[in-house]
Amino acid sequence: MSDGLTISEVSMISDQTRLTAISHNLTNVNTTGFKQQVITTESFNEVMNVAQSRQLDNTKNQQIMVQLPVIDTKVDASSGAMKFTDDPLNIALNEDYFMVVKTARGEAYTRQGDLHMDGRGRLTTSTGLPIMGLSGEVRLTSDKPVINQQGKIYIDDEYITDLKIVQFPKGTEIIPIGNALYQTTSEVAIKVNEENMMRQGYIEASNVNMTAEMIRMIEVTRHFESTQQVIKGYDDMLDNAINVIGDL
Amino acid sequence: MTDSLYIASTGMHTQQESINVISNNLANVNTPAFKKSKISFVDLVYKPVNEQNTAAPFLDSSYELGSGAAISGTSKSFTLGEIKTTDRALDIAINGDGFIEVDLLDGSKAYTRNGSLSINAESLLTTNDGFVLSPSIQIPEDSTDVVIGTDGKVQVSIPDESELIEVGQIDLVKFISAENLKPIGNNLYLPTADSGDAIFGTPGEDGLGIVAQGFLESSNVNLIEEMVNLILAQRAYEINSKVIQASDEMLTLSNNMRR
Repeated sequence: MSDGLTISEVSMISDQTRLTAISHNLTNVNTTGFKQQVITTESFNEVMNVAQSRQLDNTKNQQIMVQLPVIDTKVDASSGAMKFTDDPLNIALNEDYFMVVKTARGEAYTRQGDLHMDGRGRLTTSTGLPIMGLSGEVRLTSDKPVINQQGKIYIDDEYITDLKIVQFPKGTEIIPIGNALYQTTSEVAIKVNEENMMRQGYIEASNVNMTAEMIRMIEVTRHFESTQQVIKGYDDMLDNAINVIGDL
Repeated sequence: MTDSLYIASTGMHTQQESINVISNNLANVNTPAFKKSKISFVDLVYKPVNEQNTAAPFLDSSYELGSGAAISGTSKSFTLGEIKTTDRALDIAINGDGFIEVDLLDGSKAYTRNGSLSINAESLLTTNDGFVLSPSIQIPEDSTDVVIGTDGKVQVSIPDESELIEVGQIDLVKFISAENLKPIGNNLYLPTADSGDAIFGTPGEDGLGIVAQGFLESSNVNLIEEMVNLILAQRAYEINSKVIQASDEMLTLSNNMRR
């Protein structure tokens, strides 16, 4: 009997986690270059298979296993809308390219293209972290550089450097670390001289879809509500078991 | 559960600030040489969650959950506003990156692009807020006309003289990174460590731009862009408030489980 309660409890907690992810996505609906988080849970089949293999392992154990689905979060790397700004320090990256940022803990990757120039002439992110070129930090002498689609920077027709642009191998897990930065565990590929990597004067809007998130939010709240009814049902049954059956 | 409440409130806060910036831009849509502000956001840190699954330890999972959004900063966009004709002799527009240097009341220097000039009681050329241009330019009281050349040279015509008399020169300055200037109101900016020091130059050289007499630079605020941003900010605010409602609803439900 209490198994049912445990299952309902886990289900409700998983709904809360989903709502946390939805609210994080929705707070970043206007964050440039933001990639939404998607919560995944294992399918019934996967859970069932694991449960069966486990029961084969210890055949003496006759108890029915309670299997709880595993929650995981993934970054949805699809592109957001391109927003025209006409600002020479704004860059929208194509598809799955990332810029490289120097942080205190090594290199990180970003797609947030509203760049700035600091007093030392360095090209930085909106949080002030330096953007990397092929040969170290990018140093500019003017805040109106020309950046072509291959990531080459020119000032007054003079070549300055290439932006360091990387691509993650297909299927790599992208780990968000905040401040619009991402990391990955696998080796990234540095891309040079590739056509159509970026566009100057545009920024990439967040890829959060408000309508889809709203629908997910309705799903979550309703699912939470129905699970709560299940718990109430169990409660009623327990109530009957204790008070009615025992009422001779 | 309370996580989603707090996260949604960071969203409402950032969108509120975004609307503040938009409203300041819109309020200055007709301020000469006003430069629009931009606000940028970043996502906050991700919290690693390690779930210990007591019923099935081999199903332990770890994942990251985001914790909302924050403002990473606001900055000015120094794109050129529209140059419109006014036919007023003391209006100048700078067709480039240059700034005019003025003296603040405490003697320190500030910089402006507002070329709507006037002459004060001491016959000195000032901005329309009364800040004297630096170096100061005296316009003789009996002069009938002021001619400002594209190179910033200020000349006056005086009744008894057949030729124009040069009375001064409007120098322009520029900054390595103008967007890091600190706006102090009255269309004035102060240099910061990030903007670099003022670099003096002559109008027409080094991208400073020429001085155009009889013209004024309009605000570079784009109404359509601001309206689109306003709609986005308002809707984002709205949907974040819905998240708070949903969290509240779910809290009510869990509180009502026990009758």
